[in-house]
Amino acid sequence: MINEFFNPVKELAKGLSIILKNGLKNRVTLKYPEEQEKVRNNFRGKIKYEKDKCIKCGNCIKVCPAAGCISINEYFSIDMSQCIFCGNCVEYCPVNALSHTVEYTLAQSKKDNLILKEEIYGND
Amino acid sequence: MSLFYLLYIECLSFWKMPEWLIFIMWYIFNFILIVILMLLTVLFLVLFERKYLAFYTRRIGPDRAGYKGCFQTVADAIKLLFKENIIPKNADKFLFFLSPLIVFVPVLTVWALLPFSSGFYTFHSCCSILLFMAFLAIPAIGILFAGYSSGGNNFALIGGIRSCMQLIASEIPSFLVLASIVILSGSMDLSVIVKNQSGSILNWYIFPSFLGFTIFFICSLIIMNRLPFDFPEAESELVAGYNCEYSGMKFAMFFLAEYAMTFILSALVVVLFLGGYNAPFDFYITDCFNLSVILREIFINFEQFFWLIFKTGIIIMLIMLIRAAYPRLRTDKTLDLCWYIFIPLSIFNLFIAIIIKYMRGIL
Amino acid sequence: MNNSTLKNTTILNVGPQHPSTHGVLRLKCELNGERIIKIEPIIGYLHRGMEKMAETGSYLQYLPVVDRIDYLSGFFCSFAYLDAIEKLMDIVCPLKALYIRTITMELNRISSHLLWLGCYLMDLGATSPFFYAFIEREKILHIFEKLAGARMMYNYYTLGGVKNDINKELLGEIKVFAGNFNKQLKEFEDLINNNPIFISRTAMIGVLEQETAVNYSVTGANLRASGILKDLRKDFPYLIYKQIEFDIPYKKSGDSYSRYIVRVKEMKESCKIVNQCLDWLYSNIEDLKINLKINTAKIKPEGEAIGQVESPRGLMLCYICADGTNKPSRVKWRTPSFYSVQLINEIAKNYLVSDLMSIFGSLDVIMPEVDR
Repeated sequence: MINEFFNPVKELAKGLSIILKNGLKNRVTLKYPEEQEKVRNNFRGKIKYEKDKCIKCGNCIKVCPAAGCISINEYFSIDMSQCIFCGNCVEYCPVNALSHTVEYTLAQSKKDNLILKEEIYGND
Repeated sequence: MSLFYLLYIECLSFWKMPEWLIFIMWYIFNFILIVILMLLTVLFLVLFERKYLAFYTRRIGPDRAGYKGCFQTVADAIKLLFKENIIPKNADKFLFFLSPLIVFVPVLTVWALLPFSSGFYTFHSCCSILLFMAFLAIPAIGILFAGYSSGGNNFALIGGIRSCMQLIASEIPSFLVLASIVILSGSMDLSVIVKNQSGSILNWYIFPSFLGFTIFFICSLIIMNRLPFDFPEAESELVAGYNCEYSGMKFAMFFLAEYAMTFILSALVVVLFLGGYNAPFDFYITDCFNLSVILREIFINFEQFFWLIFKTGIIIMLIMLIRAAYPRLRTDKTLDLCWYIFIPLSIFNLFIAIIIKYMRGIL
Repeated sequence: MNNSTLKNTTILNVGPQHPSTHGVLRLKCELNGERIIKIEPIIGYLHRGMEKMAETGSYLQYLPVVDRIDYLSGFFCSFAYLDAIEKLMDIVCPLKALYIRTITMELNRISSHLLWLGCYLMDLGATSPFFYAFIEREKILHIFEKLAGARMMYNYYTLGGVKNDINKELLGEIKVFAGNFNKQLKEFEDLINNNPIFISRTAMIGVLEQETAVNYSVTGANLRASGILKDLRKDFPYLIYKQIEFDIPYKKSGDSYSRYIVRVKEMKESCKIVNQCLDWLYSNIEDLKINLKINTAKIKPEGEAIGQVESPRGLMLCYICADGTNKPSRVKWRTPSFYSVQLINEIAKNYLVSDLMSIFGSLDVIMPEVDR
């Protein structure tokens, strides 16, 4: 009878003590704009295109799950608002013309700025 | 007549004001002082709670507005001021506007009854303890109105009904505990109750009625709608409960009232059980210095104020720690707790108080 | 009050936007006072046409999308999908790939359960455990980010293996995590298991009878909490679960509390599996290939196959009907949450509104998985 009453009280007190103990542990907050998390090398961020390597094979379009994300005509363009950062285009590019950067702060104030455009036959 | 009142009359008599004006002005000054005090307390409490909860969850908490986030609540308040006031289409507009006031005003009024120090209390009444609890029962009606008038929002309605349900459940045991305190001190005046606890820590009423302290503490958690008893606005069940449809300043009023209530009820716990403004030892620190009579009187008032705030702070920290640790109880379990456990226990506590009083009379 | 005297019942719309439905689920509750008479779950707010999407693109194009079916356990979805294709094409993955798949999936199970644990206690009103659970989960996501390149949408498995190799540094990191995790879990258990408030909120609440569970074809921890010991990892061992020693935790009572206990114990078992995989990977860190490097043009399977996996929420199946082209002609997903969400009327009936969230939360329903 006494145990029935005191055990819950003991457990409640134990809960409080655990919470208190956690208060003494180190902080985990990252003050975002000032401190940014270091991303790993194979992080799949913004896509980089190197026009010198590109052979215009169109593999990237074929494997891209977001239809209309990549287009190749006069320009090579990736619509970052549609890109899901799956990395398929980078993986299946036969000449490694596409690669990931570690950039992940991609917010833009205009939607047009999200479209990565690069001329394929620029100065030739 | 307290010392402050005498000083005040002395000061004002220079300008040769009529006596009735002086008398009214005294209350106006007090009112302004209390409003400022309350706003400052609430602003501090909100920030403190966020920082304090962050401490236990290994975060930093708000740190952007001002130095280490000290203006965070000010920024929030300004944001709330500029928010659009949305009124639901089917809302009972009169009640919808009235209910934040019904919640807010009694909580503000109650501040006047609290003896902050031996010289500073706004309103003196021989049964202030009764007035205190009577005023604190009113916000529940406001919450019910808020829920009812929210244009058929069932979340709000359930929240409002829940607040009344827990009001009735928690008032009875807390009044029984109050009765035991009244018996122990022989007075219904809060300032007399505090005076009777002066001397040393052993005179505090927590020792003769520890049971009463526990019951009253938990009941005050229920009255002030704090976790683990925050049913009227249980976030994960009723979204925001009674203040679902409120926005802008009307919401801010509920918010303000909630924190003001937290403070004032913690202060009441301190006044009733932890010796109020009395120092925990049998002398005041001010007495250690050789001061003139008037200076001593003034400084002692400030020291007493400090002790009250200090003890209240500890109670509030306990309340917030409880919030950090425990899940929410179920509504019917709370009713069971109040009706089946607290009421018999508080009656038992009342008997203990009577016996102690009687024994003291004999010895 | 007598039921017959009060004919007017209240309709309470919980959701689609509600803090505790974990997504966009609408629960249309009929209330008598605060007591629930009937609940009707209304789903479909998050329907993205996942099955139809498969028919429009090639097998490879669909692979990254699969992770989005269950965003908390992406590895499981992509495994179920790849398992079906691998069965169709008779591909046997290299052993190291199997071990890496196992270790990632078990870590993913832990991370998914941790998120559930935090959110469940948040539903009950406890704030702190939410943050503690997320701190632990963050460590797993860091490991995944290093390994797969993304925190939630991994796209890490590929046909015939995995994409990136695991290195020694990463193995060390996993080892550190697995070493600390049991201690951390002990803290959770101390904080929650015997808390009288938690027990009063969950014990004997939302009891799922064995018969009901079988009739609704519930799987996973919900089923095992009702006393039916069924786990795909033991019954039809896939990957390398045959070689690994682990127990399947189960409980008999079938209430919310036992569902909680089963999940917490499952995390412990997962930790055990991770440790065993680590031992093997440490001794075979080099010289083994992780990927068969299958020619993408040759992915033209024919026939029907079912890929199956024991996901954190239960049995996940992926049925593929292939017609010899590079596109599947039909993909069908059997997702466990879809079956759990229907239980709500059965087990939350006649409880209070306060219990609704404690029961619904204990089922561990993820909305994108329900709607697909």
